[in-house]
Amino acid sequence: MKSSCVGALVPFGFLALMGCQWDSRQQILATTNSQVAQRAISTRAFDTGDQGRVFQGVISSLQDLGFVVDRADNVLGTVSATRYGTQLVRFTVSIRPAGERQTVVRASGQLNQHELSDPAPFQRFFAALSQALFLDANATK
Amino acid sequence: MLGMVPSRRLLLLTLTAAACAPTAEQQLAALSRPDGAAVARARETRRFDTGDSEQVLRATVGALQDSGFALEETRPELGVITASKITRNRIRVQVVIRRLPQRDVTLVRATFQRVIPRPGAMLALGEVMDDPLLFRDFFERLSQSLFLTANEI
Repeated sequence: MKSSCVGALVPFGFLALMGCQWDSRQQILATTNSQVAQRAISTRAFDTGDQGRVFQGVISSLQDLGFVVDRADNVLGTVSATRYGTQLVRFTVSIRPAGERQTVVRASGQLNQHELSDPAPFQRFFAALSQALFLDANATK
Repeated sequence: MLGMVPSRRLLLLTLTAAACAPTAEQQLAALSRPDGAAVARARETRRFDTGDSEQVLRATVGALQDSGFALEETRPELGVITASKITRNRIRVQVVIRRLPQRDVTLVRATFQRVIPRPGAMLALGEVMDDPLLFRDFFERLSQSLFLTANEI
């Protein structure tokens, strides 16, 4: 009886192990939306070439939204921030030049353990950033 | 203890400490990779045929954001980016971007760790991820951002 119990468990154990391995890769790289769809909701272009100004604007709008900045790198153009509340929100913003007169801003984040994949939080962030910069947030091509 | 001769006390302390100390094998294992450093390096590294390491840096940031990571440590002058993500466990990643001197070649090396929290325990457990498919998928994503091929080294 012992050997048959073990025999029954072996394939199950094997499947569970395989599940673990696949799960890790999925956990790490899987996204809710396609790359294109996610970029569309998370990326905006602003009509200014002044990276410094946009960078400051990102920091102040994150502060407006209740975040505390963990890491700000104005050489790489990235800001990471956390918001503690009933939910944990981690947010990362990267900025890059697009030609001489435009700056592209890309946001991403997690709410608790889940990726931010709905347009709403991004709209909120870009509205705050728009206000901070006195510029419109345009869709990127 | 207090009434002991100092040399006795020292001996007792040393023996007690020795019982908890890791063995030489354990200490060596702490700095070894199961399949060796060379194999690990090949698995974790890709070569991109461009001298524009800054572009590769930015593309790495984009790829990490695509995968839901939050940036932690960034040292663009050294080409180091560290990021993390909270899933059931905590996933940490370090990407190092290095331009080869005098060549239009940039090497990108990524290391992934998984930290398993243990509430109540003093130390967390974890592992360095070594699934080759994880690296294939990650570099595929980076490759697509760059419009460049990720070549194995």
